[in-house]
Amino acid sequence: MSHLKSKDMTMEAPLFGFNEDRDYLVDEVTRRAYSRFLGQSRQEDQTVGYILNDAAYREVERLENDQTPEEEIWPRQKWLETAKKLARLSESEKCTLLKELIETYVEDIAGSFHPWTYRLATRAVPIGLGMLFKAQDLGTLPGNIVDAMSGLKNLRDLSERVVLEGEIDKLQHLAERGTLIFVPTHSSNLDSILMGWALYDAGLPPVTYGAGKNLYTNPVMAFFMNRLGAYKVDRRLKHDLYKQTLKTYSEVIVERGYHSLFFPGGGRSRSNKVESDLKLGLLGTGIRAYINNLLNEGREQPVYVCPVTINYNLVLEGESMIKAHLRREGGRRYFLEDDEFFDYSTVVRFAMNTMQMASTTVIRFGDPFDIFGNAVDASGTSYDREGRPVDRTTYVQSTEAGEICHDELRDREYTRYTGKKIAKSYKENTVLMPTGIVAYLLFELLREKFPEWDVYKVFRLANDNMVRWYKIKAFLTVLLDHLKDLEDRGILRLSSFVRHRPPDDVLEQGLDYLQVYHVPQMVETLMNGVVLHKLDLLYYYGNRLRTYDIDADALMTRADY
Amino acid sequence: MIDRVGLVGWGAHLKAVAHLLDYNDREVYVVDELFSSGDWDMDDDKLEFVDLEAVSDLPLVFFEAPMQSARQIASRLGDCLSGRHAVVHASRSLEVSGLQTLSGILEEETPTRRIGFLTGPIHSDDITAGRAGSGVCASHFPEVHRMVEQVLESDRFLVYRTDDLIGAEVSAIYSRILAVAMGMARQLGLGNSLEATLFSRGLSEMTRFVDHWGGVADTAFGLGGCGNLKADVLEPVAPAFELGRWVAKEQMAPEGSLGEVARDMKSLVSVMVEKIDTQKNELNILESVGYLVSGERTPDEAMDRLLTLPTDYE
Repeated sequence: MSHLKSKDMTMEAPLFGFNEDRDYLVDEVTRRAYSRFLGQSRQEDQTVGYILNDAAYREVERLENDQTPEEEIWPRQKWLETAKKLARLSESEKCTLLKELIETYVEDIAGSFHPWTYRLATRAVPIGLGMLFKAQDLGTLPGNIVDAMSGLKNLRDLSERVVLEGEIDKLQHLAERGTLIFVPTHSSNLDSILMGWALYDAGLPPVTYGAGKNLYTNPVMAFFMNRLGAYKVDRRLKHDLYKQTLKTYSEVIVERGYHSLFFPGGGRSRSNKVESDLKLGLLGTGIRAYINNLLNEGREQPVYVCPVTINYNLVLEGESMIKAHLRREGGRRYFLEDDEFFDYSTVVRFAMNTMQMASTTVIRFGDPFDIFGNAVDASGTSYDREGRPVDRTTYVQSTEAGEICHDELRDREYTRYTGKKIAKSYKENTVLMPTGIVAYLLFELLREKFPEWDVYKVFRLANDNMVRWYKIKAFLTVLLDHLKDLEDRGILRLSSFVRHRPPDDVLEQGLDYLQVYHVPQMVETLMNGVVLHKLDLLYYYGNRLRTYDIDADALMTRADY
Repeated sequence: MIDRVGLVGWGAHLKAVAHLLDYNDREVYVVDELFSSGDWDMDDDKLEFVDLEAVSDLPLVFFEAPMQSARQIASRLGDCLSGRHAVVHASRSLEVSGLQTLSGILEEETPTRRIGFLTGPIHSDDITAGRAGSGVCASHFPEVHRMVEQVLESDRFLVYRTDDLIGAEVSAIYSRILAVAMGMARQLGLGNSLEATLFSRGLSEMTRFVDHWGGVADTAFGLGGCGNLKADVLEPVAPAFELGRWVAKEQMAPEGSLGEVARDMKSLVSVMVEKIDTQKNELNILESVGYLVSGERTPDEAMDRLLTLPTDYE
């Protein structure tokens, strides 16, 4: 393992000192958020009473209907009482209440880090994830104690199941020179666990990350996340008081040098297309943190952005994701079902079925850049697009006087630029797997039969249609040639399997995946063709390719079947 | 307070900017080593001609250059800039090879992101004669707006703002194409009614063009779109309008011998027609100008085509 030496280095990561720092963090975030709200109340004519009233109003409204199991900081009754008494409170009492509320939220948000839990997790997670992400081991399970030990050993070797690739060496160097912000694509609730292991296995330091509060309703997940530096993000809360407090927390942890991770897609990709419309609020806190360090410490603590793509063959929650997407985009035919992540029998089925398959997941670390979107080398030096070294501090100097300063609109523009770079990196580093390619191919061949129909009509009326083998094979050959050409031009990536194995192997593996997990099977292979059953899911997996400008009709014409 | 400003390149807008800066008592530094400039129409002692390296000490730089050489000059300029600098360009064209605006080129070729675009009915003749005028500064950066206003605004010149940088750039470019059509209509003696129709329908087309590029459609109605178009067709008319008149008069496609404007317009329109779906975006005037400059249709045929298009709700 080339990363073993570096794994020791991860034990010196800033996160190992998190617990000693936690009280300071809570105090500092509370102080800073509070003082910003006071400043805001003076400048924007938003009184403290208004800020509190807005929070109370939104919480009362939300809690009236919210049946979700997540813990609440206050029950609805307390919010109601707060709203009622606001008018009677003096200005200083309102300020005290505001500060208390912010502190309560910060305590709720802030996690902790327990080194022994980290060590346990880095040993236990490969076993659990190993079952989810590979394969052959099912056959090696316990015939006798020796076999059992051997099976266990194999199970722990997650690296056989999950391929880590990309700019790992450069990231290891940068971790010693600055603060890393990992920004992965997001398809599944398994992503954060998988990323935690991947960073460890790649010899990269552990990170703190924002985890949806809904995940904490799973006691096993909650146990680990509460101890591994995760902080809670309650996406149900829409009021400014919470959102600004959360952003301040993110800003302070980056400022303190904690490597962090967030999913800029905002949530799991429902369509399975590679995310392009990114939510950049937390990324913006990276620039604030960078400037704060320059202003307060008088020294530069570089912040590096590290895009990562997580590429599955099968997605645990694929079925509910595409239904949610289609219901939102296409109308009322689709009803959101329970998320598979919270249905243990589905997780077990996913584990048991995918274990029969070979390597299933590729995590690719894209080329990192600085917080302003400039390329960086392993020594941490930034370069502009022409390859000239650039002094990063000049980006946050005012043009007029040259002093380092915050400028919200300027920095928002930098964040937008960096966001574009992340989206570009996602596209270029997405690794296409056999499942996506075969699903795309089958669905497009089906659409060819009904050229006048939109996809929703295809979903409704074209189920159980058959696509002939000769068409599949002819189209696949042309499609793979085209994808290889796109890869050669740096537009996307293909998994090693797709790149190097003959089309028949890619087809076989793709079809196998399409039959192993989802019930009923997405496809059924017969003598003269493939019958397509779950069209929305086929569409979902094929959407990975629809991220790119691929002209399926032209390719089918070229296939000349 | 910005008291020293750099000018890189040459063009009618840059000349106007030099006069406005001088009127506002700013020190004007002209870099002419990359590009031979024309007649600034100012006393020599009011301009200081400097090497490119001097730009590194000037936080605000105005830039104008023909698109054929813009990337090369921008790249050289980039050697002397940092992330702190602000660069405001004034070019109303696209790079033919990739249909890139100059702000995009500056973003690629220089380290700075603080880029702006100055455009609008800025007639250098009016400015040099001391008559009042106005322009619009397009930038995502409020600091760029502040600085441009600080150095250019006076009792003689108003600077408006927009943050729709791409919308302003492509509006300013499209208004040149419409000016060709207007020049042709004037020469053919088609009358005020038809010229007004061209103007109005052209603006409508411009909104679709802006939208196609990801800008805000309403930007077409601002100084960068509507303002530029009006200024281009008023006497003394703009070179694009003159080109349209020449084509209609000679009943032939423009020749390279007509000069830089003709060459630029010919290659720009040809590539735009080739790469943009004019049918889908309903860019009929662009399509007609494309046929005209390529010689595929005569001016009469081009006008006939426009006059026989089906009409609908506006």
